[in-house]
Amino acid sequence: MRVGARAAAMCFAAAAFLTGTAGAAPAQALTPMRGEVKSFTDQFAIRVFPANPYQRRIKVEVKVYDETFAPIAALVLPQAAMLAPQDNRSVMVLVPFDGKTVRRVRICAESIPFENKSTRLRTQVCGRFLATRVR
Amino acid sequence: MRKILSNSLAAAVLALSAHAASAVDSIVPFTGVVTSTCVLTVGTPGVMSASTDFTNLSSTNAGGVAGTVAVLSTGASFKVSAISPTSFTTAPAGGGDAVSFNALYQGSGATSIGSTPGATPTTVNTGLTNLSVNLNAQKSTGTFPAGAYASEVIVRCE
Repeated sequence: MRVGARAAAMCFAAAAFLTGTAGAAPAQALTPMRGEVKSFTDQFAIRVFPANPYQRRIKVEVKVYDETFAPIAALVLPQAAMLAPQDNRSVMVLVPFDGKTVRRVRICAESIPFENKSTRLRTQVCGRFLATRVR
Repeated sequence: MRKILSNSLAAAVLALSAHAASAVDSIVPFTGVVTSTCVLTVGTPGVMSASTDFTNLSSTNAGGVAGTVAVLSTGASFKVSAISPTSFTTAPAGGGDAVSFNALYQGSGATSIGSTPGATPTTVNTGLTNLSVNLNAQKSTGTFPAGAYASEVIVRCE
């Protein structure tokens, strides 16, 4: 992981830009759901806000996929969290470019609200993000 | 005469105070932002039941129940889909062999959606759309043995 101070600042600036439009929005499943990031380093950071729209606490996981929904080995902090009813929290996602100049990723908030039925419905709300590496 | 003067003075004071109040009217601005997002809320999970020949487990069979999900969209570009599982998460021995899964969904409310294969995404309108999700598990050889079965359908909004 090679993140210089300037690059890190750029990453966090990008994340701050993305979260700037999210604001305080309770009962959202995931915000933001669209965004563009520029980074000077070999990875980029995005901050997202998964939320719990239910009236009881749930466990939410944040996962990262590419445009074909293949999982990406990204650093997600925290990867899973318990959310109180109507609550949200910030999650930082650090994604490597893997040698590419442009990378399209999906960051998904997933939850499993019911577990004791024969057909469980897992909800998955995915934001789509475009990252460009500036050289 | 004295009483008339007193009354006139009181009226003048009232008029002045009323005039002064109107001079401090002001506008208080309010602003708000609604982010463009999609909220999925599971209403009820589904229940699959066996067909009479025990080669099919489905929420559309007699005794089965479709799962319901409320989709609240504040943007006009979001799409929903229902991803079929590839296997049971719980099944008795041999129950998951030679089984193919097929998820279907339909919607009402802000977006009317006819019965649609789960893998086909549908753009939802702004507002609340109620989805009904069905799952079919078809066994190509043999029959489903007795036991408890469970599977997961992923309802996706992106």
